[in-house]
Amino acid sequence: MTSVSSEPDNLPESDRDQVISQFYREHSRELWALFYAMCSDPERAYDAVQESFLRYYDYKGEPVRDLRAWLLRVGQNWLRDVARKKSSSCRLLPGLDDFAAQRNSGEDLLLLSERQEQIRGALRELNEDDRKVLVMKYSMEWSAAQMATVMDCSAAAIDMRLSRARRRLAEILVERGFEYE
Amino acid sequence: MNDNSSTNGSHGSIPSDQQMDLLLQDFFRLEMPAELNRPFLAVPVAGASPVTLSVQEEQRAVQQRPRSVRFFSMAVAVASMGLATVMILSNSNSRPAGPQKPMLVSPHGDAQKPTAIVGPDGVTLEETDSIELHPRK
Repeated sequence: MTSVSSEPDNLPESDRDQVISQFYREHSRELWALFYAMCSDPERAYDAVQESFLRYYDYKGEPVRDLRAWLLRVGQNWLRDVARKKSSSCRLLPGLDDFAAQRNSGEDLLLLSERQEQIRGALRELNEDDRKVLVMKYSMEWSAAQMATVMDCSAAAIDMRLSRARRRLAEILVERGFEYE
Repeated sequence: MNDNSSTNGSHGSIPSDQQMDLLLQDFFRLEMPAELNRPFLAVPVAGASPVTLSVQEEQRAVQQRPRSVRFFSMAVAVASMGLATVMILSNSNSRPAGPQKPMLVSPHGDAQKPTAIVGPDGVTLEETDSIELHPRK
C-alpha cells in the first residue's frame, strides 16, 4: 500500500521536495478518505490533507519514521481543533470548464447538491468505523484485505461491517424520505 | 456481498445492496475534490528556473514623482491656511475697540428725504430730530 518508504528528512532539500510530492500523489486520496470518515465534510477533509502536508513541508524536527502515520495524526489533530472552534471551511467550487462540460442547468445542480447533502447527512449518523469502511470501499475502491490492514482486523470482519453499514445507511436514507432513482 | 432485494420499510422501499453500491459510487465520485489530482502546491515544480525580480531606474523615478508632488501640495495648503488665519486675525485687530456712536436713522429708511414733511403740522424729518423730549413733572 505504501510504496514510498524512504525517509524524506534525511534527504537533500530538492530530493525531499520530490519525495513529498510523490507521497502526496500516492497518499493524498487515502488521507482525504480517512479524514472524510472523521468529519463527513469533503472540503474540510481536503483542508486537513493540505494542512498536514504543509506542516510536514515546514517541519524541521526529529526524523519522521512513518510519514503516513505522522500526516494522519497531524490531520486528525487539526480536524479536532477546527471542530472545537466550529470554523467553516471554504467551499471548493467546480471550475468554469467543469460547469461548461457538464451542461447542467441550475436546477439540476441544485437537485444534485441536495441529494449529496442528504447522503452526507445520513453518513453522519453512522459511527466512525462504519463510515470509514464505506468511504474506503467506495472512494478508494479498496479490497476487504486492504481495509483490514488499516483497521487492524480480519477481512471477514470488514465484509460483515461493510454489509451492516450499507444496510444501516439505506435505512437512514429511507427514514429521511430519500427517493432512490 | 449480499444482493438483497428491496424490502418495504415503514417509510418506503429500502434500496437493495446493488442499488446502494451504485448510489455510493456516484456519491463518492462527486464528493472527492478534483483538487486532489493536482500536484502539491508547496513543492516547486521540478526544473522550473528561479524568478528574479528587478526594478528599473526609470520606473523608480516615476514612482517617486507623485510623492514629491504630494508633499508640495500639502505645503501649499498649509501655507495658504496660515495666510488666511493671519488675515483674519489682523482684520479683527484693526476694528475700533471702544463703543461706536449711534447713527441717526430715519424710520422710513432712505425712501424720504430729511426735508420732507412727515406730520400734519408741516414738521420735517430734520426738525423732528432736534426735538428734545423731557418727562412731565
